[in-house]
Amino acid sequence: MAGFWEIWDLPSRNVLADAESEVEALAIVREFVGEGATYSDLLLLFDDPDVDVEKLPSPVTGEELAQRAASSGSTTNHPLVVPERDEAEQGFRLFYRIVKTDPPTLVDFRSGKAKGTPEPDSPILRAVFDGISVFSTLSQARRKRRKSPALGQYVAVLRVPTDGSVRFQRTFREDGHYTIWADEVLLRSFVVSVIQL
Amino acid sequence: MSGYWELWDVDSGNLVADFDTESDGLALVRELIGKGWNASNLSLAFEDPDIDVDDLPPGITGDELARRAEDAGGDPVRRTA
Repeated sequence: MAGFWEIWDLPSRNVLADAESEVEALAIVREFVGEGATYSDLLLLFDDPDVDVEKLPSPVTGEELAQRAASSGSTTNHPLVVPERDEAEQGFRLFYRIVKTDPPTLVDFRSGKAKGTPEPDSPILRAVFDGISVFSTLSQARRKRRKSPALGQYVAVLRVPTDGSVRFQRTFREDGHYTIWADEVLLRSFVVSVIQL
Repeated sequence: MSGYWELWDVDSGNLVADFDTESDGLALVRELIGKGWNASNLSLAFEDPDIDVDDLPPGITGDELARRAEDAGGDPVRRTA
């Protein structure tokens, strides 16, 4: 299995995002800082289940993370020595769902159809009416929540298997918007962290 | 990318539809309210990823949304619930 990068929020001990490369991860770090996070609250680490923990590079935070983020995009003077990797955590991907409570309740993962709301006439709209909205990145979820605060004040990070057991699909024009079709109990079981916005 | 309109069900937290025009969005709002949806659970908003959220107009919901949908459709919205 290939390794991957993770960005953690230290105060809440929540994973915020994962990435396929250090460059991508540092770009996400800069984005978080641009939205108000501090480098000392963020932790960047590389993980690879096939590599012994003692052989993995040390996580980076604070001033060192700030320096690395600043130098990202140009040649870094102190690259982390890590195995090559091809993709984010193999077998899973993260999605971000705006929810109303922490911890989220089953209602937070209930589709319009499951709530008993009358379906739209359009077959195209009915095709997603039994799914739930999620975003590909935390930043996209944050933006949507800024636009529509009534959606909720938390984001649940869902770790969804990519083995085909759960159907998800890119839907609508909204940046990074996906629909996931699954039972609400199963969906809630995918939650690995909750972030207050 | 040019902008578009979105209709969210803020109660369930799910995107219901997107549209090229506001009038298309208001037509669906009329349909859904006619089926018994609560206008307070709906939010119709313009979205453009190239524009900062603070520079976008706020979404319309509740009575204002129902009123605008009625005005756009001519006939009063028929409510079944």
